[in-house]
Amino acid sequence: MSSTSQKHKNFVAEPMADKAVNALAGIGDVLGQRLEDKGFDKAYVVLGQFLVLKKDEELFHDWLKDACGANAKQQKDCSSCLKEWCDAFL
Amino acid sequence: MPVFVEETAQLSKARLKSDLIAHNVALPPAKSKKGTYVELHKRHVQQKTCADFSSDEEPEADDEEPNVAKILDPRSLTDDDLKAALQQHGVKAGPIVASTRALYERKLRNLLLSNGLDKVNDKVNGAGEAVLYSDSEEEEVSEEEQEQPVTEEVQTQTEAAERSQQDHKQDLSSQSEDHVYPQCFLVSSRLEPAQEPSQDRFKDLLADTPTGIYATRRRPIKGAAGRPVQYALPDTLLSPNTLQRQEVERRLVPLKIQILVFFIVAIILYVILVLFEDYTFNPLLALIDIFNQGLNSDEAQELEGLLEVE
Repeated sequence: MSSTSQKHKNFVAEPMADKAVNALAGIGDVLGQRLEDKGFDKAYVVLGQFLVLKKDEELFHDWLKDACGANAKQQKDCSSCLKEWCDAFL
Repeated sequence: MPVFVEETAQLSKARLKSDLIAHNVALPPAKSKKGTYVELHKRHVQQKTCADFSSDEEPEADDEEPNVAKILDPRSLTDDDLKAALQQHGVKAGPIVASTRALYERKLRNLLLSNGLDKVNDKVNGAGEAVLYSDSEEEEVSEEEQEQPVTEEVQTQTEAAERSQQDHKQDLSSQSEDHVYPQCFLVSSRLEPAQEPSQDRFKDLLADTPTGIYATRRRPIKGAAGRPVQYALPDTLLSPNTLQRQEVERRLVPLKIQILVFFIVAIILYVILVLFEDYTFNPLLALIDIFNQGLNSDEAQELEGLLEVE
């Protein structure tokens, strides 16, 4: 039995195209809104940030915390979601 | 820097004296006024561009930034310099862009913190020096003890490390009672047990390898990118108690069936008895009578005797 959420599975299943930032695992409405306010209005922009940090999860966690105030679980969910997406499609 | 001028005057005479000694400045005659010491202090100590002396009586939190990066302040570095500095510490930094700069600055700062500690550990051996201080009241004493045997170069680093360490300690809010011990520096520099867990975690993040510092140390993601998921816990997620109970219950279920079967057989036997009663089968009847009358051995023998007669 997998420990990833349905959202994670949905996101990793296909190229993200123009999905909103809400579609990321760990990012709900509130966090999504905060990210959008900062200019990260699409999932691929957050992906961009992840890639610029060289896919370093720790740095990404720090950044996510600063950007939208995500807690540890949300950070982990988001970074693992992005990482898996990268492994599949990048 | 006007800030330091004011605060130098606020320092105690003893403190100024020890500072001067540490900087290899000739002390004025023993009974000089404090002003003399202040002058000398300002002239010599502050020329060395170590901005550490003023912060004794102030809250430590303010001084962390200027103290940590004495020579290089992460904020003042250019992108390239920041990247080079991170590389020196063994961190493979990505592009330093607007969004990533803050993160890398923070990282470099943390590395400098831990580096300062390491350098102090390496250079000073049994010099009666301690890096850790808890309360501000103890600072004078500890400062004196610290500064006397130490060379200038190390002292500034020590102070920086001490300050940042102090700040870190205060952040951790564990005010230890340990005073400065004029003994093996390494013992005191190794953190008190109370702090070790949190400090170790901190250090673990930054100082992993003996040669350099590999900054990131994260747990691998289970179940991602084809990595097999290996659970520490069994799949059933049931406690041992529950499992035992289930096993016992498994045995109980057939037991109930056994009891049921037993009763069914008993009923059948009774029915058969009734049937045999109808047929007036004598020996059987007698036996049954014996059975019914009880299991008393004497009685049974009597009845058996009766049987033989009959």
